Amino acid sequence: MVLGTLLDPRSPGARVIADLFGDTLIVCFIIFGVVVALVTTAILRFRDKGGDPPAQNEGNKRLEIAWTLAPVLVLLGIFYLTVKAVSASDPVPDRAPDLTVIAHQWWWEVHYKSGAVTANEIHIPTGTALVVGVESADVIHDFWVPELGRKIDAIPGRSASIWLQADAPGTYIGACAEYCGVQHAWMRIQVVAESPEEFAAWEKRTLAAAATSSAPDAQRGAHLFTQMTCVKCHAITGNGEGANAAPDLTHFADRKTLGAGVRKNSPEELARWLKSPQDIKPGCHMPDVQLTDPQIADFVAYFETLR
Amino acid sequence: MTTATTPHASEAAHEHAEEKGPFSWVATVDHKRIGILYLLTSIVFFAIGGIEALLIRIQLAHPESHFLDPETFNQIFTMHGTTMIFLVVMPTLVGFANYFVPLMIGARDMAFPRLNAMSYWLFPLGGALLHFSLFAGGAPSAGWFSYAPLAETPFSSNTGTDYWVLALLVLGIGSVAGAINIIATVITLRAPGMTIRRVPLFVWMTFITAILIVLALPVLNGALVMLLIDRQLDAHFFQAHGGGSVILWQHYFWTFGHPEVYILALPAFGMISEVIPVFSRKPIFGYEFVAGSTVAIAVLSFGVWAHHMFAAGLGHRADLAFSAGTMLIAVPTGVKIFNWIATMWGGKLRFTTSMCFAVAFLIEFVIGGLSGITFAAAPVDWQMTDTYYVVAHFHYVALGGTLFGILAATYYWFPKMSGKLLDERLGKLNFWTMVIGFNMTFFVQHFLGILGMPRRVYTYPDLPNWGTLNMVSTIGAFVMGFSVLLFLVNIAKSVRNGKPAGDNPWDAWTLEWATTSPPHPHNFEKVPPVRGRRPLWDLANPGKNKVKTKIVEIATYDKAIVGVWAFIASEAMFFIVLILTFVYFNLSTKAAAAHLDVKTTGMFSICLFASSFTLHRSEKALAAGNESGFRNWLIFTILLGAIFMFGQASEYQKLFTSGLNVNTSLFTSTFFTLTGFHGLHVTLGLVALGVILWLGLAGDLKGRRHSSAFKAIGLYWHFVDVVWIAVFGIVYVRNIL
Amino acid sequence: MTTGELLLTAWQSDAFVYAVAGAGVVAYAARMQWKLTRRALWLVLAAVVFLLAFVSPIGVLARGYLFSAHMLQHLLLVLVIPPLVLSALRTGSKEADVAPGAPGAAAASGARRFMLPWLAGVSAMWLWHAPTLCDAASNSIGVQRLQTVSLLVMGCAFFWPIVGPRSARRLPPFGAMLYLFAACVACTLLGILVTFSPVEVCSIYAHPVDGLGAMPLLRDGWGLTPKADQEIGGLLMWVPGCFAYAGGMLAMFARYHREEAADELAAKEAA
Repeated sequence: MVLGTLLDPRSPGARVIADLFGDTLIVCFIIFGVVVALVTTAILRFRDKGGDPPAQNEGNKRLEIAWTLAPVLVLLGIFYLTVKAVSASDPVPDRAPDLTVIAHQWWWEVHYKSGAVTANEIHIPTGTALVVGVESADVIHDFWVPELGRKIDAIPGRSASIWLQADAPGTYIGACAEYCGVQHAWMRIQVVAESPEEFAAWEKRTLAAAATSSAPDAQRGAHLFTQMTCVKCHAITGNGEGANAAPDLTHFADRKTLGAGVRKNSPEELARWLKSPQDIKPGCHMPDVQLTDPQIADFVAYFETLR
Repeated sequence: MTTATTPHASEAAHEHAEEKGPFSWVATVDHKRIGILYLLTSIVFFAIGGIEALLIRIQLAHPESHFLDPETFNQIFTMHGTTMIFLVVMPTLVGFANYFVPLMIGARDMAFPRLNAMSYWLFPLGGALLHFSLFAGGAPSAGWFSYAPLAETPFSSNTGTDYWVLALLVLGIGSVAGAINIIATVITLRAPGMTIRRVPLFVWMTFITAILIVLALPVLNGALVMLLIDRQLDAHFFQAHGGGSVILWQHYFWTFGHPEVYILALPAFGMISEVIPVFSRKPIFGYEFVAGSTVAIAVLSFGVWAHHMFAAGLGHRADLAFSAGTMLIAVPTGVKIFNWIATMWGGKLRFTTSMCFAVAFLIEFVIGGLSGITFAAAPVDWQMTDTYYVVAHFHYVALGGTLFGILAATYYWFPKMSGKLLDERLGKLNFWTMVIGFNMTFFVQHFLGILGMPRRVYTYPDLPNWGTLNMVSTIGAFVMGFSVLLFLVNIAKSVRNGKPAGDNPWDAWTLEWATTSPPHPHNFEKVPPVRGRRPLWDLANPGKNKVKTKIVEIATYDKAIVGVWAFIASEAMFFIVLILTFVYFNLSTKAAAAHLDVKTTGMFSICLFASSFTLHRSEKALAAGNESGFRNWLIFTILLGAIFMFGQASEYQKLFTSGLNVNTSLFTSTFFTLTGFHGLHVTLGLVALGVILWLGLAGDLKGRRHSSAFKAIGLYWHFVDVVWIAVFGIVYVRNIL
Repeated sequence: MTTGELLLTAWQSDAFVYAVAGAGVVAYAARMQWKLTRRALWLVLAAVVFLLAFVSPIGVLARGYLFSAHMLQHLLLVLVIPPLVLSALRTGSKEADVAPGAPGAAAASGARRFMLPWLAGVSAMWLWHAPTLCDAASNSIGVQRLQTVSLLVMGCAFFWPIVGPRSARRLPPFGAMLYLFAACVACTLLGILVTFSPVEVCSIYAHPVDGLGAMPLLRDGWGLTPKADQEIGGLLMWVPGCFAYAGGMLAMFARYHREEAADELAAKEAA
């Protein structure tokens, strides 16, 4: 069996924690081994085989002090490792966040210092540590990408910040770790680490205005988007303005998932999602707006142009 | 003391002896019947909580399952946690304590039998309140620790959370009353010769647990009250908008919550400490160590709560301080394991089902404890908390620890309670299926956590190994469910036609085995002499030098006074929470100065302070037999108290008319909550003093019993005054400085 | 400046401190009629801790640099030195250890005996951390000395019912445990307040006058911003402070077991 995530750290901070976890686990296994050995020996050796009652031994002060001090020493050792690991795995950020993640009930809003806006998917360049500000728009959430390091609560009324870094390119999946209501399960996040060049290209693309298309169905979709209530929650602007009660869709087609991880982002899944979001992610804030099949087709055509 | 109350007690015993029929169970004040009621009611809730657990496991058996919808799932796991902790484990432990503490210390009943009955009846009432939410728009779904602001009205708009709060308040009051009873019982009703260092460890651990309950539950109650005010009266204690603090709820909840972990664990430690020696045929190894480390646990348990909040980002310094505290508390917990093993070492072990569960407890609890150590290393917690790893951890503690302890105790004590032995063959089957099912369910959850599966998700994506591990866990849960069924069948079968147990089937040594099985209503014909920790061993081994020893006199205390001091301690914790909240929210504002009239309130306060003096005079007069003095001073006291309450009412009136309500600002919320609850206590004190006055006028205070009641109520009145000194100083005087 | 240099150079001489320590030792010796017993070691230990608290870097940093160092000093004065002094004062003779009378009577007079000492012990923590008084102490050397002496006195008063010289006047062990627990709660609350308080307890520590040139080391090297410093100070009072009381409670529990064991033995001999 391949043990994943925590034992497979992909950032310096996560590595420190994995090492600390490994060290404490070794200590724990040794202690556990000792206990099991003692209990097993006692079971095998001291089974009642009749005869006189055993010696009525009431205790041994020295022995008891010894087995109190021994764990104290072990724990001192673990505490020493902990002290070292605390600052090594989670150095206090020394600057304002490079990007801010705002947790909402069941999706993630992401703002870059450059002005780029996205949702549920964070792009970072490999090899560089970014400071991530973590905030909440409603209840307590928790930002957690296991392979890349510690989790941190997103607490309303407060802003926290941690480092985010990945050694190698790849997609690292994470999730909201603090129970936050009905759809806590589908509040997943992806961190896409790519080479600095690719990242720069992505950021430039994301900063650009929304694509326009001349295809008639896409144009109908765009029209529907502004006509219906979509714009009350979603924005397709490219400058970070507009409604932010739901994910910014300016570059929607670029993303890998929809509904904060509940489905793959493909035209078929998107059509299903638009038809009945409440069947796919019950309780989420996207209402069932009773779209007709042609409307859905237009929307899908439009969204597929938003790259 | 026992001898002093004998005529009264045997009268009561006579009454007990005649009780028959179902209604007698409702009206009973016999500690044994109440104990059994606790246990039976717990079994009902255990069935409910267990079915909820199985539903959770069915839903999670494979990825993206649609067996339950998310809202239902969330309600179920919230109810499962709340039920198992507050309606199953706590009452089960209280049930055993109720049944066995008086028996083990050679008493005839609890110190306050009627209070005991009230404590019990609050338990089904609380359970019913919690479940009534199902018919009132849906069960609570904010998790068993109801983190704000998710538990606040905007995010949990049905009444489930309100019922949750009310149920926990009712259960909390019942638990505190029960704990006060246990404290008073252990302090005042021990048989001659039963000094504190001779009480059986189960009694000792239960006693310490009772102290923890008295001190920790009020913290929860205080927080619950504020949450309810938030929800019902629109205040903002725990909401960021409006200036409240989201994190404050967590601090309060876990200040209760961590001692709560030990409230659930310590009595089980006590059970293990009874079972292992008896079936090893040796006394406990290092009694003082086991008893003393329990005290250490109790004290330290109040200093480690923030380790539940490492992920909240309190800062490295706080994290490290609490990490150190957490590792420290692991020591007194861990050494007990060695004491138990050393007790087995060199003994003659008898592997009854009870002993099997006790030995399994050692192993399972160590696993839970060691995974706890990994959490104490804060950075590991940053990764592993809120995942299935922590779910595994606390189930190893709560089931591998507490449940295995309870099962060991049930097989051990069932013969005493029913007069029948439990079936050992079914018992062994119960044991092995439980061990296998339990480990299958929860051991794999460690791996799920490491793989990154968050807790409290109603479903999960189909990632490598997740489905397989979850399926294993679900199968394990059903094996456990089967095991529980076997256990219940065993009980049902044995009650009807189990083998008769006799007085002392295990050849055990503590006092509960010195009477019939089941014990008759007044417990003992004659309490055997207590000359050591194992009275029945001493009786059976007369040659071993102890028989000639004189019976040690033990200090005697008035149970009413002991009870009221425990109550005062509990109330003090409640007020500390309210005062702390006031200080926290008003530290840097001068809102109080703008709205409060220090002089007027000061005048009324002087009346309240003076009433302590007049009450003292009244007590003096009663002690001197001066009836009119007693009466007049008491009337004067009540008048002064009433004047104070009038002052508070007129102050409230003024504030209300100037448009200040509970929800106006954090200042008004904290002010009305703090002074309002104080006023409520003054009012209760006035009612109690009124009752005393009425008794006095009827000439009923000459006997010792009522005069100590007067003394107890007097203490309470002084306490209410002292609280006002603090409140007045902090709320009013600080602001004009 | 490096940490090593700080530890080597930041020592100060203070006539007042020497005088207090000297006077204490002389007074003790006089009371013991100039006879040296093993108990005197406790006093020597107390004197050493006292000197270290003021002469060593702890004292230097406490004087206007670090609130946390001040807190450490404070805790030493209230929680460490007094029990040491009182242990030294315990007379070895048995006459002083008259068995207590009826427990009921002891409890009644006990109520008066422990109220004031308890208040003294808790005020020692709370009073001098009121921002006004804390500032006054840091601005005036006279007030500071008053603070030092009063802390010692209040600390001794607090521990008198626990480890006072005459065991007959001590609280019974369970009473002592409650006494310590209540004090622990009171100090924990203060620790929590100081840790999380947005208000500066002592404004001087926010803007220290850096005579030594140690500030760069403290602020950058050790990373102690004024906020961090106050947090550590609060945590010191909260966590180790609480553990000190907890340790005391365990000691009382051990004492209880010893006393009861003695009672049981006495009962056996009487038979």
